Amino acid sequence: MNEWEAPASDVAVLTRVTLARNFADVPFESVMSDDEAAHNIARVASAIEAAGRKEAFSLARLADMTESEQGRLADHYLISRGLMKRPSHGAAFLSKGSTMSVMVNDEDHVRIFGMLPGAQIERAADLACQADGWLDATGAYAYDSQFGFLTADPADAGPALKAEVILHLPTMRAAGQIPRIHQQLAKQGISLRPLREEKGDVPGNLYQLLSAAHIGCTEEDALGALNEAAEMIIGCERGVRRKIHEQDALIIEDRVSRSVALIHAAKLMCEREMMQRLSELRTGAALGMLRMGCEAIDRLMCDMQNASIECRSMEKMTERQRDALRADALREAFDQVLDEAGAI
Amino acid sequence: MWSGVKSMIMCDECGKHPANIHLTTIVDGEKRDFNLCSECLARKKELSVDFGAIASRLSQMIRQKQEKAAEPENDMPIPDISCAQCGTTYAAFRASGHVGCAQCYEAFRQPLTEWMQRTHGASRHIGRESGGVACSVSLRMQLDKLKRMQKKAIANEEYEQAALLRDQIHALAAEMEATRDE
Ligand SMILES: [Zn+2]
Ligand SMILES: [Zn+2]
Repeated sequence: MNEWEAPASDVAVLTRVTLARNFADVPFESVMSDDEAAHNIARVASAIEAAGRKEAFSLARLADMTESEQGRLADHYLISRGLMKRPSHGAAFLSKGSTMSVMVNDEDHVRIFGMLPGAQIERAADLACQADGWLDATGAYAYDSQFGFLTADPADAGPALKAEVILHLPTMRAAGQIPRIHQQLAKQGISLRPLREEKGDVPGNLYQLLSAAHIGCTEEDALGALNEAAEMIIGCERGVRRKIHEQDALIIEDRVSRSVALIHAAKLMCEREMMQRLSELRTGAALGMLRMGCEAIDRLMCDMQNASIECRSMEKMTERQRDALRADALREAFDQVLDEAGAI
Repeated sequence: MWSGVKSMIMCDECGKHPANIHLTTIVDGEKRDFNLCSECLARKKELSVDFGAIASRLSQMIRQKQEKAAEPENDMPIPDISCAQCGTTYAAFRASGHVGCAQCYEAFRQPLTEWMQRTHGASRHIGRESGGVACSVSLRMQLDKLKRMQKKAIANEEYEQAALLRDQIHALAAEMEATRDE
């Protein structure tokens, strides 16, 4: 494992805290005009500038991007899939280190992401709140002393905060533990569900652990509950992994080295297989079997998805071309990472 | 609304109570959604499994949410009111789940208050305020944690430990005051 790994990165991929905010003098997204949408973007730009952070952010307007480019941002957790449904108005201010994203004209005028690798809930919340402060300084927020921060969907009003940790849970999934935990957590208002679900498959064994602060609940309540739940699940996943490793290390080593071999040999690789191979390698990396960190694998999981592969070429690709390009790109990326980190 | 926190869907089992538990499970490779009320969940034996440790530790963390009123929403009359600013009617909001502008909250204050009470068991915001002093969430969480530890120490009659924690709480509170002044 690398020396510089994020907290709990053996299981946790990413922590993301979202704040939903609106401006009082502009109608909500469903009835907003083009001018009003442009006005929202300009207002966020000037708030960031007033905070002296203009240089640290770049603006991505969805209208100027292809669908693949938009998808690439969503795959890298930088914008929501919901924003992609609003390509004419949607925009995002992305921070250089990918730790903050201020989405404009999503379901709410503004949705702020604070993001950090691994499980870092408080720090991610601090990042989101920092950007929130810059925008709040405009004095234009739709805020009500009874209802809190006003949102397009009144069910979200109040603190209008949601926090999520993306977790890699291959052994707990294999042990059939996920539905049990989901049911227990649901009582606490926390959900654990596949990050993406495709025909009963959970790509990359990635799950989203989500907690939302509703009206009558503080930010700290929701974040604290998420923290506890994340700690518990991470502990469970580690425990099961360790147990399997102790009992039969060979079976894990076999799967990891098969995946390494397949990545080296494959000429065509679909997204599903890529996620499966990288998931196996992530478990190996977490157990210290690879001289490659979990974060490097997480980056590959994002970079090798369909949208990002499509962005590598100016022309429209067939599925076959895409799978061929992915197989080549993955092999190259993998060789490069391993060269940097030393031999396997 | 954000995924994972749907509300005002009726319970699949009894159909009488609003479902406050939403499960997605894979049954024979097929995705299935369950929406249940607390009573029906408790009745479902196969669901009451022994992940009790998680649940009990979590409930210590979360302030006990107020009991949600169980009256069916269908009985609640939908008032014939609309927002003067954007023209959205209360009925349109109930149909779409979205209001049209910030002024809608003012126009619908009374029915919205009742609606929130039913969906979330609360209708008054108690978190961070707009225009207020920005204070780091992590500091506040740290303070909460120390206070809980202090309470526990006192309950266990570990007075030396409690005194230590008290000093830490004072120091942290002073630090938070200092950041406010910036
Ligand atoms: Zn029921
Ligand atoms: Zn309105």
